[in-house]
Amino acid sequence: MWQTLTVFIFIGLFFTNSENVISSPAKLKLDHPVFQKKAPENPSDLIAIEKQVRSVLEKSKNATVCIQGNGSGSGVIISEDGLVLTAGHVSGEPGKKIDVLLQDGTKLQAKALGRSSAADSGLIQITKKGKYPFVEVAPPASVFKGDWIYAIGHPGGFDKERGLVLRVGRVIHRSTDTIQTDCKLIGGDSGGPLFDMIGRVVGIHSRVSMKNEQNFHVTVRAFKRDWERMKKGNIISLDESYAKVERKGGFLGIKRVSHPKGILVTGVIGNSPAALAKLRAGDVITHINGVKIESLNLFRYLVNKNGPGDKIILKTIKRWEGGSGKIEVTLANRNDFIPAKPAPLPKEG
Amino acid sequence: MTTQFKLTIIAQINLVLLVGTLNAQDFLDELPTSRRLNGKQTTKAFGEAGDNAKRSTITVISNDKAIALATIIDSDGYCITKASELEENTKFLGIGPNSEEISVNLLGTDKNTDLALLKITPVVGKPVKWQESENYSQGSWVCAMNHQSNALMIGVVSAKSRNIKGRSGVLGVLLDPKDDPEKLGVAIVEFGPNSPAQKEGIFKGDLVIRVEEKEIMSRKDLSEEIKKFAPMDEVNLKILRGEEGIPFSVRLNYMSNVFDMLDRNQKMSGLTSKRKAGFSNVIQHEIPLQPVDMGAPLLNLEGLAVGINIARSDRVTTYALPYKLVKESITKIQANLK
Repeated sequence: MWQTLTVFIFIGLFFTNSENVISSPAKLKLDHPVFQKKAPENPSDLIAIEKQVRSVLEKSKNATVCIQGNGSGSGVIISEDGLVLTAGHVSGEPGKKIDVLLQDGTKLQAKALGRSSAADSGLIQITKKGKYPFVEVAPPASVFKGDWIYAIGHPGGFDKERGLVLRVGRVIHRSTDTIQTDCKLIGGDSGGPLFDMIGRVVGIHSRVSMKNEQNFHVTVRAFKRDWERMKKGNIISLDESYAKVERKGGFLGIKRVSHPKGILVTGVIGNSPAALAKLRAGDVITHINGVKIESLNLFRYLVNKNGPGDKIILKTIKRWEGGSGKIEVTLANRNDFIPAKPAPLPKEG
Repeated sequence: MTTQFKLTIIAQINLVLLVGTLNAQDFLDELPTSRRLNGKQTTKAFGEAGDNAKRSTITVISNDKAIALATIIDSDGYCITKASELEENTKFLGIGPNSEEISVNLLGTDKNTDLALLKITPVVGKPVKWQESENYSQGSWVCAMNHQSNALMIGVVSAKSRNIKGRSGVLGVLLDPKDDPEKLGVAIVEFGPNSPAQKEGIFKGDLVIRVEEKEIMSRKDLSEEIKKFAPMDEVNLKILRGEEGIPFSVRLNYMSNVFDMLDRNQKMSGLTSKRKAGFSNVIQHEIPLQPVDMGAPLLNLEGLAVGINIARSDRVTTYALPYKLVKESITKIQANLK
């Protein structure tokens, strides 16, 4: 179970379309035991992975496109009317006309929407009216270190004889904006989709380093953060990306990880509202203001929508005293707050 | 009662410590190498298929350097490997699956498939078992040996099987873009890396006025004539240097040996095979192999060989010749020996 825990440092990211974001990013549960194992142990484990990929591969391929306009890249259609996720360095300048090629070579007129040069996320809209094959996007932060994933794209450009190229691998590392996998990528793959084992998009191919295991993909979380502005055709630069995070400055003062029943407190900052309310490492917060906490994102959202001085009610399972109970906490001002100990937290994980 | 209470506290502290450690790890830590796609734990899952790969693969050595792997095809010591990795007129040695020292004789080659037939003595290892039906497709697991780590490497069949069109040989020259089609000859303005023309003593500023019997008036003429030749073919050129006409015989190089250096994707790929095109059918897979790993069998999960690795093409692409083509090619080489 410990492998599935994920930690976030205390910078609450906030998304413009929080409704979508707070849909619960639960860890994907698949029937075959290989998906719970640290590594496959025998051929039948490997066959299970192969079968799982095959069960969703055709649908994934139908929605994966080649993008021609600023060199050749890849992308993936995520709505019936032809909205395409790609890399920021593939979509290029907002408003620019580009061509989108379906798997069979059908060429469609499209237009670049916005992009983020910070995260390397980009959006393209197919402008020719039609009903296009599309795939589902996974909720943000629903892919974890060690998860099996697969990558599709047009490495080296469109090649009808060859078709789309598949790579299967695992998540090596995940941070806010980036997933690292051992699905090997090369020029032309940029903007192509990374899928989880049920065929949901979990990342967009972005960049590589020389080693075979250094392949980097933009997270869904990075797309969601800048979603509305990218749709409007804005360019989000490196500095803006984090400055625009909306929050009202309410400060609780805990370190935490996800937990099946809510979030697990792993540390309490001295003199913080959490410390004053006698929260301790080991406690589990299950509800805020009566809302069940299903994810770290939801927790963050529920705290951040409050300002300094606002009161929130935490329902907690007390590890030390036993039992559960409700505590009322008055939030402090994040900006003014200087924790006595430990030292100020780093800004970004 | 007190003891129990203390134990509970210790357990709680342990829990907190564990989580505390995990805090730091989860930011810094990556999936352990052994659990990645080509980590030891993962590749071990191939089980017997991996053992089969190992015992049917030998290493071919020339001038104290590994130059290719080879596949043991029968119990008499016949093996096949990638022909274009073998230097002509060189002595070959080999290393068997259990580090046996063996001698290797080159018997014959097939230009079409780029396969070479070898005979080893003494006989070592076990002949490869073939998967005769084409029961693989995009997504099928495959494995092959890797020379550098002497370990099994795995991946999936990554794209459609198909013909990879041949690429002609190249002179490795860049031509003057302002050539005058009315005037005889085109000027060489620059050489690519490993240019065979430069190696033969052709200079910048020389005019190519004839390829074999054909007079060259334009860049197009020259490229059309050269395209008729394969890599390693000898081509007769007439060069005009000042007033003097000089004949040259140039052995064309592989396109990839010259112009890959200028290609971004190839630069990202590390080493690739010099011959990676001109195969009538290939299985494309994504096992991250090196050019020296070519010649080894590509096995499925059942431990049967579906083909022979024939070219490392780029960072995401390795080609294998399918069984049927390999079998035809072996028959052809053997027929020519008689």
